[in-house]
Amino acid sequence: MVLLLLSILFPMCFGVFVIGRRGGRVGALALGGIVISLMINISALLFARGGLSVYVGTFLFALALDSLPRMLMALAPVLFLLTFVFLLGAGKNDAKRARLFGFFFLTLGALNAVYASANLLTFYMFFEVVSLLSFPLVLHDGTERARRAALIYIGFSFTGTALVLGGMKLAGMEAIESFTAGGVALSEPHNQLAFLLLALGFGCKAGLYPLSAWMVPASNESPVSVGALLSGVVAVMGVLGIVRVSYQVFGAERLSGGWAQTVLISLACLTALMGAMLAYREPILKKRLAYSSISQLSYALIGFLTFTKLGFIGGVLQVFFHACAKSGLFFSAGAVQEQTGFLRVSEMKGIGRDMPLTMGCFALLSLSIVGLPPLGGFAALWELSRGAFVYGGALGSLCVAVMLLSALLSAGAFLPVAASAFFPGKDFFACVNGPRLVGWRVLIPILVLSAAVLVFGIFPGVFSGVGERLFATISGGMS
Amino acid sequence: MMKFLMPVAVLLPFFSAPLFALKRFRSIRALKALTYTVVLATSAMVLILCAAYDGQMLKLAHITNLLTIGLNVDGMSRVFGCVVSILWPITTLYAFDYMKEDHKKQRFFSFFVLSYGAAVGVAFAGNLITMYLFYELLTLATLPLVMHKMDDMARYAGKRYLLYSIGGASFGFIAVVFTANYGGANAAFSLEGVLDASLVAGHEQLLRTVFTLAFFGFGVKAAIMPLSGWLPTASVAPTPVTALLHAVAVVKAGAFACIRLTYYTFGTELLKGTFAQFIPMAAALFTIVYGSARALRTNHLKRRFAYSTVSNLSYILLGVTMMSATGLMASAQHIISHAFVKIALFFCVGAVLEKEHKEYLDEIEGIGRRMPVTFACFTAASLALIGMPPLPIFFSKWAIGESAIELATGWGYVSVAALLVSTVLTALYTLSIVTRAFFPLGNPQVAVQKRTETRSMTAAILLVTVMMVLLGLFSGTIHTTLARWLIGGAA
Amino acid sequence: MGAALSTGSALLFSEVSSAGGMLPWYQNIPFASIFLLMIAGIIMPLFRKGKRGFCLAMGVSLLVAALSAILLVKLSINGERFTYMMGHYPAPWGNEIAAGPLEALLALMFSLVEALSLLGGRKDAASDILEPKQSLFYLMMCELQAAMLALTYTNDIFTAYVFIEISTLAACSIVMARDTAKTIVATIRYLVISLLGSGLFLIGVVMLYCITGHLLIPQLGEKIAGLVATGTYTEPLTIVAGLLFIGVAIKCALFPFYAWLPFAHGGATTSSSAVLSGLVLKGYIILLVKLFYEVFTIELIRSLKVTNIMFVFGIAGMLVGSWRAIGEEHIKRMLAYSSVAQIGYVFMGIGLGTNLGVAAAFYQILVHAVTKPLLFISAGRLIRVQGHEKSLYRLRGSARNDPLAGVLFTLGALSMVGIPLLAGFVVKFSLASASLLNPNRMWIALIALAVSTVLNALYYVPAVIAVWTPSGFMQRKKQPPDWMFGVSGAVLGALVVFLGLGCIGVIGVIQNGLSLWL
Repeated sequence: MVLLLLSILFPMCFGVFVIGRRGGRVGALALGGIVISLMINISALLFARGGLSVYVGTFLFALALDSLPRMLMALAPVLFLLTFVFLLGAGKNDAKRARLFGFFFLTLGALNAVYASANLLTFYMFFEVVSLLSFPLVLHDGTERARRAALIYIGFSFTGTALVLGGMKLAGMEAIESFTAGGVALSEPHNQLAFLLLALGFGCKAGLYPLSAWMVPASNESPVSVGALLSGVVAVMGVLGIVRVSYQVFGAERLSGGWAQTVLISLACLTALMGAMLAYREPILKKRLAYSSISQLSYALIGFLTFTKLGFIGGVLQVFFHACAKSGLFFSAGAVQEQTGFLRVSEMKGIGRDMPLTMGCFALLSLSIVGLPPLGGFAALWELSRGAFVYGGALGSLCVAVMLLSALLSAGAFLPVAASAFFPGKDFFACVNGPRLVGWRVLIPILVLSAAVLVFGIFPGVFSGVGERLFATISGGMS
Repeated sequence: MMKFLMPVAVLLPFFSAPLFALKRFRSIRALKALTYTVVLATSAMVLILCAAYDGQMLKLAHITNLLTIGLNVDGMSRVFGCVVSILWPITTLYAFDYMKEDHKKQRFFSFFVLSYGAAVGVAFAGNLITMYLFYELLTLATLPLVMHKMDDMARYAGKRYLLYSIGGASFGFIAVVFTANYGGANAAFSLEGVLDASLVAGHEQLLRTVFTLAFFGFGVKAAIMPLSGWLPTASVAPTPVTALLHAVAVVKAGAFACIRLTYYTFGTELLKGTFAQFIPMAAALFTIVYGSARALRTNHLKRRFAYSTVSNLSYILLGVTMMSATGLMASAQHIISHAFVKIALFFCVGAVLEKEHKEYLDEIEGIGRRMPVTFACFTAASLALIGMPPLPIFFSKWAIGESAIELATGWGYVSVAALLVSTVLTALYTLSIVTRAFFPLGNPQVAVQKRTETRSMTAAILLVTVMMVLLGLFSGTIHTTLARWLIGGAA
Repeated sequence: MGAALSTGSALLFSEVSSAGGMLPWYQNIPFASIFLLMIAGIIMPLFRKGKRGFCLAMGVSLLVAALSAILLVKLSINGERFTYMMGHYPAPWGNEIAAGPLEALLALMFSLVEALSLLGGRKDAASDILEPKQSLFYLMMCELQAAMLALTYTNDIFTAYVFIEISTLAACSIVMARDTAKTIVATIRYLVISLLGSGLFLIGVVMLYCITGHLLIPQLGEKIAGLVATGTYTEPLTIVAGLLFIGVAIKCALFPFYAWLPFAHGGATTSSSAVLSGLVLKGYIILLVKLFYEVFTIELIRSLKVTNIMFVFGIAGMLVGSWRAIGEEHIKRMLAYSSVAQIGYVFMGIGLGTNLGVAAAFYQILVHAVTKPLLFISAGRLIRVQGHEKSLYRLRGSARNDPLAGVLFTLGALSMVGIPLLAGFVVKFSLASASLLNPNRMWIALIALAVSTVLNALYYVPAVIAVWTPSGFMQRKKQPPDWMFGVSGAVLGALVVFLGLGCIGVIGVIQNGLSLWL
C-alpha cells in the first residue's frame, strides 16, 4: 500500500517542487525524478499489496492495484522518460519549461492514481484530476489558439465526465463501490443505458466519435511532447475506463449481445474510418497524427468491445504498439519542426536527405501504424480481426472491413510522406544546409520506440501472454 | 428558559442597528468593536439554539384570530441558522477590509447588522406569517445595502430589487391568506403540512394554483426564471453584500421559503404528481441550464457568478420540487455546500475588484501571481462548484440526482441531464477564469511581482475555503446530521 | 344650517323614551357630540387669536372623543343599537339619530383623529393661515367634524343631505384657508365637483321621497321592501341607488372622479390635508353603506349590480391611484394620490359582496383614518425642517434634522406597504380573506391586492429612502422641536401599531355593529 501511495504522491510533490524552480538544471532534475518514478512504479506493480479505502459519507473511495493496469503502470513512466529525454534535446529552454515538467509530473501522479483506483467512483475522481492537470500542458505555448484548444479540451473532458456521472447515477451505489469480476446486476434497460453512458463518457477521452473533436486542436496547439502524451497515455486512460466498466462493473457476459455493445462498436468503426479519412486529407502534420490517433485508438476499442479473448488480446497489443508508434511519430515531427520549422506535410519533401535517421524511424513507425508485418501494428491488427470474426455477425465483418480500409487510408496518409522525404522527385532543389544535426537526445527516444515496435512486433508473445492472462482474470472465464 | 433566547437572538441585531446611526464613531476601532460584538453574540446565540433547542413554538403576538407571530427552531431552522451564523462573522472580517476606503461605513454596517437580524428571523420563524414578516423585513433591510454606492447603477439596481422582491412577496402573501383560512397559520410548520384536511377537500386545484403562484413569488428571491433579473443587476453592490446576501442570505432565504412552503405548509401529499409539482420543476430545470449558459457568456466577473448563483439556486429548487424526503435532504445539503463555495468565489472576485480594480475577464491576465493565495482558493472553490469529489457540491449534486431518479418518470432523467449539462458549463466558465489568472498569454514575466493581497481579506477567503473542503470531507457527518434534523432518524 | 338649528333647539336631554321610563344618559351622547361641536363652532368668531380657537377646537374634539369612547364601551357591552328622537316629534315625521357600537367607534375615530390632526398641524396652520382667519379655520373644522358625526349618526335621509352640504362647504373652506393661488383654484374645482355630487345625491333623495313619501331611514326601508316585493318601481329604484352611489363616489374621489383630490389635498395646510384624506372622504362612504344596508337592504343592492360597479371602480382606483403616485415629486400630492388608492380598497371591499368584505372595508376606513393623517403631519414636519421644500428631491435628508418625523413617516409608509405587525397588513389580509368567500371575484381581488402592494412599495420606499439620505438641501439651522407634533405623531403611530397587532377586538366591534344594521 505504501508503494501505491508513493507512486501517486511522489510525482505530485515532485511536480509541485519543479514548477517553482527557475534557472537551469531543471532538465536534469526532471530526468532524475522520472527515473525515480519509474523505479517506484515498477516496484509497485511487482510488490504492491493491499490498498486504502476511505469513506466520505456513504461514498467509498478506494485505492488498490489489481492485475489490469499493471502493464500501464510500467508503460506510462517509460513513455514519460522518453518524452523528457526528447524535451531536453528539442524543447525550448525558456522560463516556462519548469512549468511543463512540473505538470508532466503532476499528470503522472494522477495517472498512477487512476491506475490504482479500486472502484468506479475513485476512478472517476482521478480521471477528472488527470484532465485538470493535463489541461495546463495543452495551454503551454501561451497563444490565444492554445488557450482555445485547452478550453475545448476541458470542455469535452467535462462533457465526458458528465456522461460518466450520469451513468454512475443510473448504475447506482453498488456499481461504483467496487470492481468485481463478473459485475453488477441491474434492471433493463438501465443496464444498457448506464453502460452506454459510461462508455461514451470514457470514450470521449479515447477519441470516440462524437466526442473526439478535442484531440486534434489539443495535439496541434500544444508542444509535440504533450501531443505524444495525449495520444499515448491520456487517451489510453479512457480505454482503460471502458474496459473496467465493461468487464468489472457490468460483466462482459451480461453485456454481450446487448444493444449498447452494438451501438458502441458501430461508433468505434465510424471513428476508425473517419479518423483515417481525415488523416489522409490533412495538410498539417501534427493534426494528421492526431486524426490517425483517433482512428487507431478505435481499433483498440473495437477489440475490447467485442468481449472476446482474441479481441481483448488484440486490444492490448494495439494499445501498446500504438502508444509507442504514435509517440515516436510525434517526436519525429517535433524533431523536424525544431530543425526546420516546417509544420506542413508538403514541406517535408526531401528532408530525408538531411535527417535520415529521423525520417527512417518515421517510415518504420508509419508502417507499424499501417499494420505491415513484421511490425507491431500487424500483430495487433491480426488479433483484432480474429476477435471481430469471433464476435461474428455482420458487424464483425464490418469491423474487419473498416480496419482494413483504415489501414489502407493510413498507408495513404503516411507512406507518401516518408517516401517523398527520401525521394523528393526531380523538381526538388536540394536544401543548401546539408545534414541536420539532430541531437542525440532527440534521436534516442525515437530509436528506442522504433526498436520496441520492431522487436515486439516480431515477438509479440510477451504482450499476448499478458493479454491472455488479464482476460482470464477479469472476465471470470469467458472465451 | 431557552425559549426566550430566540427573540433575543432575532431582536439584538434589530435594536443594535440604530446605535450605528445615532453615534458618530470617532475611530474605526469603536465601529469594529460594536459590529463584531453584535454579530458574534448573535451567532453564538443562534448556534446555541440550533444545538440545544427542543422545538416548542414561542408565540409573540396575535394578529387577528387567524394569524399568530411565533418563533421556533426546527430542523430546517437549524440548517439555515447554522449557515448564516457561521458565515456572517467571516463576512464581517472580510467586509471591514473591503470597505476600508469607503466613507459611509457606519450606514453600511448598520444595515448589515439589521439584515442579520432579519435573516435569523426568517430562520427561526415558526409559521408562514412570521416567515413572511421577516422575509419582507429582509428585503427592506438589504435594500440600502444594494444601493450603497448611491450612483445611478446602484439606484436602478435597488429599484429593480425592490420591485421584484415586493412583487414576489405579495404572491407569497396570497399563500399566507389561504393558509390562514384553510386551517392553520397558527400552527407551527410541520413536515406533513399545516392545512386542515377537511377544509381542503374539494378545493385542491385552487390550493395547488395558489401554491404555484406562491412558489414563484417566494422563488423570486431564489432567482427562478423568469424572475431572476434582479440578481445580476444587484451585483453592483459592494462585494460583501453580493457575497453574503446575494449568494447566501437573501437568495437562500428565498429557497428556504420555498422549502417551508412546499414541505412544511402545503405538504407534499397535496402537491405531488400534479401540475403544482411540474410547473415549478420545469422552471427550475430551465433556470439551471440558462443560468449556467448566461454565466459563460458574461465577461463581467461578478455578474458571471451572479448568473452562476441563479443556476445553483435552481438546483436547490429542483430538489424541493422532487417532493420527497430525499429531495428535502438534498436541497438542504446543497444550501449548505453552495453557500460556502459561492461565498468563497465571491470573496475572491471581490478581492480582485477592490485591490486591483479589475472587473472584467479580459483584465485579469496573469493575476494569479499577484494574488496567489486568493486564486489558489479560487481554483479550489471552482473545482468544488463544478462538483469534483471529494468537495462538497459533488455530494449534494449526487443527492439531488438520486432524488430525481427516484421519481422514475421522464422528468427524473431530464433533471439529471440538466444537472450534467450545467456541470459542463460550470467547468467552462470557472476554468476560463483560472486559466487567465495563472496562465497568461505570451511569456510570463520572470521577475517576481508585488503581491496585492491583504491580510484580513485573505484570511477570510482562506477560512471559508478550508471550511468548504472540510464540509466535503465530512459530508457523511453532514448527511447523517441532516437526516436527524429533518426526518428525525435514519435517511 | 337652519334645519340643524331647529332640531338643535329642541330640549336637550329629553326624558321620553319609546320604551317608557328613563332614557339611559349615554343615549344622549350622539346628539350631545354634534351639538357641542356646533356650538363650539358658533362661538369661535369671538376669538381674535388663533391660539384660543385652536384650544377650543381641540378641547371640544377631545371631549367628544371621550364621550364617544364611553358610548362605545356601553354599547359594546350590551350589543345594542338605539334610536334617539330629536325633540318630541315621533317618527315618521320627526328627526332621529341611530347609534350602535359601529357608529360609536366611527365617531370616536373621527373625533380623536381630528383632534390629533389639529394638534400635529398646529404649527403649520399658525404659519399658513392669516392670523385673523385662524379662528374661522377652527370654526370650519368644528363644523366639519359635526357634519361627519351627523352623517354617521343620522337616521334621516334629508338631514344627511343637509349635513353633506355643510361638510362640503366646510371642507372647501379648510382647503382654501391657506391663501395661495393654487389652493383657491383647487378649492373652486373641489367645490364645483362636490356640488355636482351633492346635487346628484339630492336628486336621488327627492326621487326616493316621491316614490315612498318618507324621509326617515327605517320607514324608507320598510316601504322599499314592500315595493320590491311587488316588483314595482324597479327601474326608478335602480336609478336612485345609482344616483346616490355616484353622488357619494364623486365626493369621495372614487375612480374615475378623483382628479380634484391631489390638488385639493396636496395644497392645503397640514391639518386640512390630514382631515380631508383621513376623515372627510370616509364620512360619505359610511353614509352610503348605511343607506345601502338599511334603506335598500344589501341583497337588493347586490342584485342591482351596484356592488359590481363598486368592485370594478375600486380596483381601478387602487391601481390608478398608486400608479399616479409613483411619478409624483410633490410629497403631499403623492400622499393624496395614495389616498385615492386607499379609497379604492374600501370600495373593493364593499364590492366583494360579502359581509366580511364590508367589515374589512370598514377596518380599512379606520386604518386609513389613522395612517394618512400620520403621514401628512410627519410630511408637514419634514417640510418644515427642510425650509418648506416640498419636492422629494429637495426633501432628501430632512429626516436627519428631525428623526422622530422620519421614523413616524417610515412607520406610516411601511404600514401602507403592508408589513405585518402594522395596520396596513391587517387590512390587506382581511380583504384577501374576505375575497376567498366569493370565488368569482377572488382571483381578481387577490391579484389586484398583490399588484397594488408592489405599486405602493414603488413610491413609498423610495420616499422613505429619500428623506433619510443626506443631501445638500439639509438646513443647517435646526428647527426647535415641536412637542405638539411629537405627541400627535406618537399617538397616531401607536394606533397604527395597535391596529396592526391587537385588533381582534376592533374587528369584532365592526362585525357586531354591522350585524345590527341588517
